[in-house]
Amino acid sequence: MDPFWGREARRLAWSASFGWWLEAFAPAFAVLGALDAALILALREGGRGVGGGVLLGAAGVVAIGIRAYVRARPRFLEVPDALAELDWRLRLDNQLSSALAGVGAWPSPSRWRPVVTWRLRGAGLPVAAGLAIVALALRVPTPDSDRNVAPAFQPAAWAQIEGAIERLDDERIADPRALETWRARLAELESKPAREWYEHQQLEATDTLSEQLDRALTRLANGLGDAKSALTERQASARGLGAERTAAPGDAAGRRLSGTGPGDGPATQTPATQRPGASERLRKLMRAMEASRLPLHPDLRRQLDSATESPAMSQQELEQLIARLEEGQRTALNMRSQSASRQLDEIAERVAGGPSDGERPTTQNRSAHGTGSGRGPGTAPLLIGEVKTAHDGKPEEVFGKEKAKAALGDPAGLSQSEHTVDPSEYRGPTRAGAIADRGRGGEATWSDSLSPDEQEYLKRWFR
Amino acid sequence: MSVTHPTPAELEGARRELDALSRALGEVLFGQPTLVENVLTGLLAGGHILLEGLPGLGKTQLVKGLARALGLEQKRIQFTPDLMPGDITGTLILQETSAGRRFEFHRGPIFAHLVLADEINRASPKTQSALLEAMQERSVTVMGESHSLPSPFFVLATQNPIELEGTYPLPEAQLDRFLFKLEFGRSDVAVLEQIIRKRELGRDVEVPQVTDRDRFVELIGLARRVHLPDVVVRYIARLVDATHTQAAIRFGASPRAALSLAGAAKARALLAGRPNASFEDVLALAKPVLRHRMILGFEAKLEGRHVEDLVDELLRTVEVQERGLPASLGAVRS
Repeated sequence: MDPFWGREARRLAWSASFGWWLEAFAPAFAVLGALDAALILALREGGRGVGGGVLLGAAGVVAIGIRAYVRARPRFLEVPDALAELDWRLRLDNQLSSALAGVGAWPSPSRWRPVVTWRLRGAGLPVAAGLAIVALALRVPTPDSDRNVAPAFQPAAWAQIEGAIERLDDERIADPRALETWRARLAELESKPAREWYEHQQLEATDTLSEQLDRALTRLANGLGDAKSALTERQASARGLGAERTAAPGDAAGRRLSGTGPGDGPATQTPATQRPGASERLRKLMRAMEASRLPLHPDLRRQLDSATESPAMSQQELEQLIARLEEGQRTALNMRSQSASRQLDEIAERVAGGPSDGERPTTQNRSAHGTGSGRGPGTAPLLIGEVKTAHDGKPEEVFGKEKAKAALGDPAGLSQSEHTVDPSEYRGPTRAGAIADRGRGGEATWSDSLSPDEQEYLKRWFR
Repeated sequence: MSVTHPTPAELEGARRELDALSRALGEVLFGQPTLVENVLTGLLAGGHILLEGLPGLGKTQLVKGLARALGLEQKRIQFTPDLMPGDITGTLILQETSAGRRFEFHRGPIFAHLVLADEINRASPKTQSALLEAMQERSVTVMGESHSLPSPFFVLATQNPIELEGTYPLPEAQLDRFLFKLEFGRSDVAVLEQIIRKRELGRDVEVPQVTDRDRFVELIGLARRVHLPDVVVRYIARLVDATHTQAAIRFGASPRAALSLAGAAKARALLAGRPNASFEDVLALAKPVLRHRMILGFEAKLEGRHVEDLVDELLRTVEVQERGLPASLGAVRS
């Protein structure tokens, strides 16, 4: 065979055979591409790796490649076929086929330069479409692909909760066992995969934990504040009585109580006449705080127990205890998250000039603040422009100092009133038909017991 | 079977003679080079030719010119309804001789190298049959005695596509005996001008003798030695087979059609001075070979389709090679 025509024939045979294979391969490849793309998308949406889909696709490509070879093989061109094809395409009057059979001469190579051109639109489009759809399936954003990107930071609320727990522990305000429970709940949230940290359910759980901690902190702060108020009241009463007794030096009892008599020690003792009312209030407070989610630290509880039960607490010890309670209250208030209640409390503190004893609401007025059901903050702002009336004789205090500069809608102050529900009231079984406990909440209970300002606030809150 | 293919010298000599023959016939039949080429191809392939065309287009002149150019004996038979077989083949006549009375065979007009059967469809089927038998057997039998026809023997029959009333269309089996069916086309103005200038009414055309009978027989033998490549054989077979798979065709072409196409392709190659037949030869001769061998179906006739259109369709749809090029391979060019 002539070397030139032999080479050209082999080249054409290879090209034609590849073309036949490609035409058998292309449609199946397009279908495989679509199926593999669907598989890859499903894997991605399921949060699993796409490696399996890609491997399966590659195996499929090999399989349809073999199938295409088997199907196209009968159409593959041999060299004689290619020579005949060159005869026909180049209008050589079958000189090549005849020359191969030994008849006639080979056409002169110098006159011919066969060029094979490809028309790949038919076979190339399905292949390109199959590749494109797989690439698209690998690249197109899916809900899970967003989830797969682990967030760089944990939710900020977790740090706040953790900080509050640690500070309560450091300052020995709350019971370490209760704090461990809080830590365990926080750890449970943190144990979730990072991509789930900002999912709706996780954020809901975080909010719930944060709100529960807020309420527990509020309750703790209120309890500490109430305890501090009770002790301060007792201290004040003891000082007044001590002064009276000091005026009558022959009174031994007076000397004992005032602590000015020899042998009575440095501390001023609480008068016995004041002790039963204040002690009873302290006991109630202790029980309520014990039932809360943030019970007092055992040391603090022991000190309060001794202050409640022991008549022989010195004035200095009492002052130290009051100072510790005040510090604990401030810590508890500061630890609350930046929720609406916190903001309102801050407004209250700002307007009232800080939670000093003289300007703080009374224990009765503040009790609602710490025992909220989670539906509202328990404090309602008094807005400029609204006409307020007294309700059931409950006092409504306005702390705003510069009302002249306030605009309509600015918070002018807070109204705080005491709720009559005491969730710690009931402690044991009761006889049939008797109701000793008013319940722990429920919308009707709280709504009925709210002040008009609080009701108005609730309406706006849920509007 | 070992075949000695034509040598280049033989091919060159044949090509020169056949070129001269073509030119000579071109002087008889103006503006019809393809027709002249096909007639020559048919004769080189040793076949009979059916010429179809309107009167006055030069069919008779072509046959006369051929006979003169080839140095062959030519006779003309005008077919009429009352023409009897014996009028063609010849008959026994009682002769009074010195030896006594005896029957002597008087040869009919069919005993010639080149017979022009004019308006063959006007004769009765019996007479047509006698002619067609002679075409096939190249001999006639009268009263049990067989008489060979001269060699070479060609019949060029004509028929008009009009005035079909009172005619006897040739049966398909007899049509199959004709190698080609050629159609005379209408001449354009330029050809008509040429005819007017160079011809005179009532005078035969002067055609030089290009070759003689023996040489033409040699050329026929040479055509049979032309190489037919396997790929061309396969193409012819697939093409003829495809005539049977077309829904519009009631009966396809016979194996004789395939043989005719192969022989004609070789003759055409010789005419071109090539040692081998080609796809192009098959394509060029498919219509003359197949058009009278395919019978249209009833629906195709109702739709007004023509056999020529179906042959064209076959040539478009049947690839020259079964294992051809895929569609993704655009073209091969030089």
